[in-house]
Amino acid sequence: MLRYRVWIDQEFYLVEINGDHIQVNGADVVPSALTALNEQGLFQFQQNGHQHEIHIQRESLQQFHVTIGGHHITVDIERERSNGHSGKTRSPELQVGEVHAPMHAVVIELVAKEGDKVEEGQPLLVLEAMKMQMKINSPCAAAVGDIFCQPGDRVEKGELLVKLNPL
Amino acid sequence: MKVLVANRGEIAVRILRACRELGFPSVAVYSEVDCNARHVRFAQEAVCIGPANAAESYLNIGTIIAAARQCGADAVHPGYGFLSENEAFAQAVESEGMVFIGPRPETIGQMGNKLTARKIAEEAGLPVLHSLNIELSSTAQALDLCRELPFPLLVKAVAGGGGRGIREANNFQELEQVICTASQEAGAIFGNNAVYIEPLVRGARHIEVQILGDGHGKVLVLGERECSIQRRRQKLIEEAPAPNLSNSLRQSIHKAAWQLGKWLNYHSLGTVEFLLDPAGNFYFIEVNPRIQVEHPVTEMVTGVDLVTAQLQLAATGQLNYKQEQISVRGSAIECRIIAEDPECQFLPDTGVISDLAEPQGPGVRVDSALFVGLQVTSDYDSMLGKLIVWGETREAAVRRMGCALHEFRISGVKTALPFLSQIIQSQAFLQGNFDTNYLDKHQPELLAQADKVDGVLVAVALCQWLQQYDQHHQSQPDNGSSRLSQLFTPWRMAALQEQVR
Repeated sequence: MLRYRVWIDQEFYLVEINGDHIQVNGADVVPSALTALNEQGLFQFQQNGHQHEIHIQRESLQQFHVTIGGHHITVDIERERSNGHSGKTRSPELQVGEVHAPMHAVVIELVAKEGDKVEEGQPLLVLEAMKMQMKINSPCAAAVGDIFCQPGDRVEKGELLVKLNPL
Repeated sequence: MKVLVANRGEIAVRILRACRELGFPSVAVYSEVDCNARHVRFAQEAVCIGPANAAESYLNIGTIIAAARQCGADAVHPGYGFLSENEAFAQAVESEGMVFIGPRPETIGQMGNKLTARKIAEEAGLPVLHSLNIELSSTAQALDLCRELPFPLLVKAVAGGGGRGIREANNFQELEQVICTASQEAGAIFGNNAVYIEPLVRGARHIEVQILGDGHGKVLVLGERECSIQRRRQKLIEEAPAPNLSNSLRQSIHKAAWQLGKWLNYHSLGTVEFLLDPAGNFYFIEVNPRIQVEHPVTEMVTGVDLVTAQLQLAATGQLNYKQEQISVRGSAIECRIIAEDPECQFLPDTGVISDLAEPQGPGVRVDSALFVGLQVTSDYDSMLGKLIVWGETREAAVRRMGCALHEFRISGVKTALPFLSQIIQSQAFLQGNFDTNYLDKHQPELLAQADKVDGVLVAVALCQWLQQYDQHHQSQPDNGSSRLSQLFTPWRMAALQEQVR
């Protein structure tokens, strides 16, 4: 079974896919095959007897830009492994080249600097949101590339903070 | 006649298209960030006129005149915005021996000063709101004079126009502050800090009349437009003809516009704007001496191609139409499609257009300069284009607009398409019962009623996509050549292209 944690605006959806059986937040949903209409991310699908068009653009491994019904929205998805753990540090796909802000926050401190070689899990910077500080760690061993923020900056959710280059 | 179009975006494409149809050679101008813009590809020749900053490119009279001279242009079309209402520019074009496609420079100058324009309108016999017809230079002087006037009042920039540089004061205390801010704002935007004061008309509608003159005494009236659906004094939805307007009132308003056109011996296209109060009194506001954003609704109901008429007038000195030939058939509506975030106070949004489907079908017209790959930046106006529909009746046009908005798909930037649909469907709009404050007053509820994203739908679709994608990628053996290899899939390449070093 595959479990995905999905955030759309402030709403959270837990999507569980088990073969043809799909549940969203515990409720059954009839699955529908996505048909690709072109190579640029345009798909067609049916849900509850209605046809829909959806345009999907992958911004980063966990972030998508989706256009549907006149809305253009940002969606964050995190895949959970079948053993119940968040795939965050395990999935090889998460060795991203970019580090984004997980929420609206203020940059408190830059721990790493441009050109530094960092190990997986090594802190890059510290953010503060709602009076809580959190370390933003490197998802993989990499060389720190451009840093797009400095202490004191307010950053938006999803804003690019640091770029990582392959070692 | 070789025509240089001193503009960008949808209006440049609109004018260049008309040049093509008429067989006129054309020249586009563009700033460095616009080198791949659609209007550049619509012209036979294109000249770069400087950096992104409009002051150094699209507003740079010297550079544009030099470009026109260099490519041997016979005429210059200014479009709307930028230099279109700049007397010095029109003058400079004529001094070069080229035709300025618009009113005479003198008319532009007169209409550019709102007090002069009001004075001329009054002389021509048009109704004008009682106001303080003086350029206020000091706040004390203003306050003293305002003791006579009833509140609420509007403080307007003398050099303003297009709904900019206007402030409202509800009482004497507010007035002092408002005069200061309005004056500063006017100085910053228009380079002239003079303001004037007039009473605010509650429940007013904005009705404007399209005129076309040959500069030799012939002035045609091409019907009116209703532009009361505005947000913060910026038009959002326009239509022709105006709904709920009695024939006698319509004729009086047309006649007033014609009278002013005659008085000015008007040349080329112009719009005479009026306020219509709930009692049916109308007052002159201003003249827009240029082609307007909302001109297509007039074209749709009259069948007259306004830009072509303008170009032909410039080329031959004659208008090919008689007033008797002008009639209005059916109803047309225009929605401005703007890159903005309705969830975030309609702040302009930027991005790269990643996918696009413009609506089609009978009676549907899209004026845009959009294409997949276009970078929408904050350098210029955030209007992406205009959606215009025509129907045999207003009801048919409204239904058609609803469908066309639904069909419009723009990926890459946020737009207010669902919000526009909601306005179109509102009772007030359907009944044609709204004033210029309607949107500012009812925006929250309209926004709340607008279609929302079906989160479950999106979540399921995306997770299914992700599952297929993951399966596909897991089934391919990883040769371990690059730990970041997954980054460079076609999906990501588009997004990362510029950033990859």
